[in-house]
Amino acid sequence: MQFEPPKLKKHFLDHLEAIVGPDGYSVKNLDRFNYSRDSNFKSTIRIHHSALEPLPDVIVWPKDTRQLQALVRLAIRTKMPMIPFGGGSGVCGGTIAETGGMIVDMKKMYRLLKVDSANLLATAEAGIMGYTLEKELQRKGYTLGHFPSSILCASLGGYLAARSAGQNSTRYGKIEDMVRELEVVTGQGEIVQTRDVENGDGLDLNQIFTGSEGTLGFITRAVLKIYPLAPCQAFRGLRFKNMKTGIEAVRRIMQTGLKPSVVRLYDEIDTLLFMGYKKNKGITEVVKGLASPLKKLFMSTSLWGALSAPKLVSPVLQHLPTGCLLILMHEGVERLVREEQKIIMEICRDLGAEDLGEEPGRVWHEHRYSVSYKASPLFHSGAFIDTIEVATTWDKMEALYSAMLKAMSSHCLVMAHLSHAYPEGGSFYFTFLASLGGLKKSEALYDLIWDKGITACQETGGVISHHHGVGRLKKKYVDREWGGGAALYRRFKDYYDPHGIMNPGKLIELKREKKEKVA
Amino acid sequence: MLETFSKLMEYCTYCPRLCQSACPVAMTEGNESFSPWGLMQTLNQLRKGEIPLDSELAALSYKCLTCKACTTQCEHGNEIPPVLHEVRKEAVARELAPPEISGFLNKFHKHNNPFSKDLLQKLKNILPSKYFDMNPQTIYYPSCTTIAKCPEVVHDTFELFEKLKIDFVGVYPEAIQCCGYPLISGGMEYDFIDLAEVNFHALKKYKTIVSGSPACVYTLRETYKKYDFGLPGKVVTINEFLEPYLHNINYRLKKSMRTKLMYHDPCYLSRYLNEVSLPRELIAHVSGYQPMEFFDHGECTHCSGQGGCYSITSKEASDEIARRRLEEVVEKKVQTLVTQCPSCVHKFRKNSERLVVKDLISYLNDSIEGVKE
Repeated sequence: MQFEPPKLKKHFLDHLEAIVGPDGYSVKNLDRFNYSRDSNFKSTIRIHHSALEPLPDVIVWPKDTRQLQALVRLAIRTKMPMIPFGGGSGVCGGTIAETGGMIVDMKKMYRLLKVDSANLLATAEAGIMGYTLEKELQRKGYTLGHFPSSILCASLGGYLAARSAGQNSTRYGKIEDMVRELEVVTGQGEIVQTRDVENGDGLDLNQIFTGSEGTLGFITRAVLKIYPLAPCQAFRGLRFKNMKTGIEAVRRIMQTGLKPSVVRLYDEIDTLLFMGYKKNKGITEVVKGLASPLKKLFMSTSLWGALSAPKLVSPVLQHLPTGCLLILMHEGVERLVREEQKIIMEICRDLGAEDLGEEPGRVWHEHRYSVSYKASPLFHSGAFIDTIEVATTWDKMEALYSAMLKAMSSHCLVMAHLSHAYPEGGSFYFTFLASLGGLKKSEALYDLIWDKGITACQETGGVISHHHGVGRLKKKYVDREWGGGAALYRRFKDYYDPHGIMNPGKLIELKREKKEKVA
Repeated sequence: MLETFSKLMEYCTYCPRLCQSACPVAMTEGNESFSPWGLMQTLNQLRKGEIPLDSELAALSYKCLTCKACTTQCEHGNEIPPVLHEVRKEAVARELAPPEISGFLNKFHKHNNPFSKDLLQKLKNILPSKYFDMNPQTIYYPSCTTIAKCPEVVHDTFELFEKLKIDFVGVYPEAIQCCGYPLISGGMEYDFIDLAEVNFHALKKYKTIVSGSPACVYTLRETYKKYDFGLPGKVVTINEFLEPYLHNINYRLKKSMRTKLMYHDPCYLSRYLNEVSLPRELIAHVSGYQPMEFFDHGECTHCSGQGGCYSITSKEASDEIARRRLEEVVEKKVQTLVTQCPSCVHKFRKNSERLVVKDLISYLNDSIEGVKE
């Protein structure tokens, strides 16, 4: 493994040191190596083969907004690309230094600054880790209500940059619903403070920077809506005959105006894997019998047979007689929780659902972060895995699910669940699994599966990302999705990042616009 | 050197850094390379022969407290310290370890302890001579850090023994008052073996060895075994030893001791020795008071910042870890922090001016006035 030396001049490092001090930056090769990737699975495939991603030239740890502003001004003067870095949990390659440059790790700006209990608002610095933020809030009797499966390794800045959603988003909303004010150091080197317009007039400028993935500036601080810890939590598991009735049930639940905090509908394969959890007692004998063999299949040599012929295996797995599991979690005042459960049960029974009791919900809650641990054994065994999270409205939901499943399942084993449900629609979360070969072959297969899945999503009217962001992974699909909005974004980009140094190569293709200008 | 750990290292390499928030070093220094994920993916490249063991990589291997917070967080139970131990050993052997480590070793050799002091003499100033002359079957092994940094714990331990009418325990009377934990933890294996051998011959005659230092108990009980110096007698924590006496003896309590306190679980006690409920039971039994808990407590505790030679190579960050841990104590307006590890006591005292930091034994001794006849 060869590390190219950083392309930095001495006077640049002198300036850098004057801003952050001798311990505030690193040009060491091992640090550059460890900041060369986030948690995107294409990079994981590459590291499996000891293949490097582009290395940053330098990593910097600013301690406050003023230091960061000085860094941006230095980067403007020296045309140095700047890439924001939080926890490195991103799965779309949003923090890869595509053209080298300066990775700005925000973890030294880690404070929960204020909890305003009268107005239920919290102010925190962007480098605070999600788990730390939630822990500190819970210590004081509050919650952000944001529980993404990346909570253990994602930062608040990352949440905001990629429009993150937590597992309880149906009740608490996504991060863009929680943000009230932001402090941003833009690519112009200016500090911008957005204001809370929740109950006021004017544009919500928070929404320009939320989801901008570091391409307009650095989010350094945020004011967020918080909630008192719920006095009651309740769980339920139900089984539907198929996805069609399950989807219809979730639509009816959401459009009745109810707000369970978690709604997750698993397709047949996902149901089977979920039911395989040892502690899950609230399941039928049929499922019990099936769950274990499939798990064994997945973790044994038979897996390689299945992965080598997904075209043949997928249709069989997709028609397993497991039914489709719906997990519900409710939070709030106990009387309301009980009433909400009662109404939901009526809706589900009308659609022929089988009540599995509270156990499946409890088991899900207990293991809600476990799924991320599954990637390592699979990679170690010679398979690769990734997830595609898309969203659409209810009228297209079933068609999107079928189309994406069909498009991908010739090339990999694929399963899905519907989660993050809202009155107008929801998100489908596809997990795919394929065999690892040589580097080139694996990368090509990986790209092909993504392309098939995303194309099918766009053709059925879905959006390509619900909460993982775009990064470098999905940027080529953005123009089609954003339509006229892409041109508007490019104007924002020209304004806030006139020097083109903010996280280049992410979110959207900029070359296209240049070509258009030339034309 | 690292092939034994290949599966663990690959698992960590492919993991989306799920233990990151649990690691005090990663959270305080903010550097991905110092997170368990960063350490393991880097060392995995060393294992695969992709990068060499040089001084930069050697220094990286010391960016760990060996507190095993990551292991508790990891659903695969991956243990990082044994991997780092191999690299540190190799780094010391090839003279690639950070200069602080070789400096530490020179300092250690003066009196066979990390403090370069005659700790036996200091011990003799703390305790009356009768405890040295008893020829007992059960001895109290104070630990070098206790003698050097919190000597009152030694005094309080024997005062408590007296109150509880425990009159058969002597103090370890040898010149070497260090079990060698700092040596083995820093990768100085040969020096550790030499020290362990001397200690083994001095300790093997005792039926029971009691210590208030969890790192000493773990080293004497477990690490010595790995180097064929397994002690024939029992090595027990002070809590294990005291428990029956505290339950069976009728003693008087000082009412003034019923103040608000928090208990900090030392990582070696809670994660290496799995002693989580006993300290709380003893506090509750003696004072009738349940200690307040940190949000991260029991086996999910946070290290005080002193473990694994980290405080030798990364002094400032190590103190910062302690200060961050103490923020919750301040937030809860608690004035007394009780813990049970000399390194934790020392670290917290060093990083707090107002807080009363006590070893559990001192707290118990302060709480008990005497035995009722």
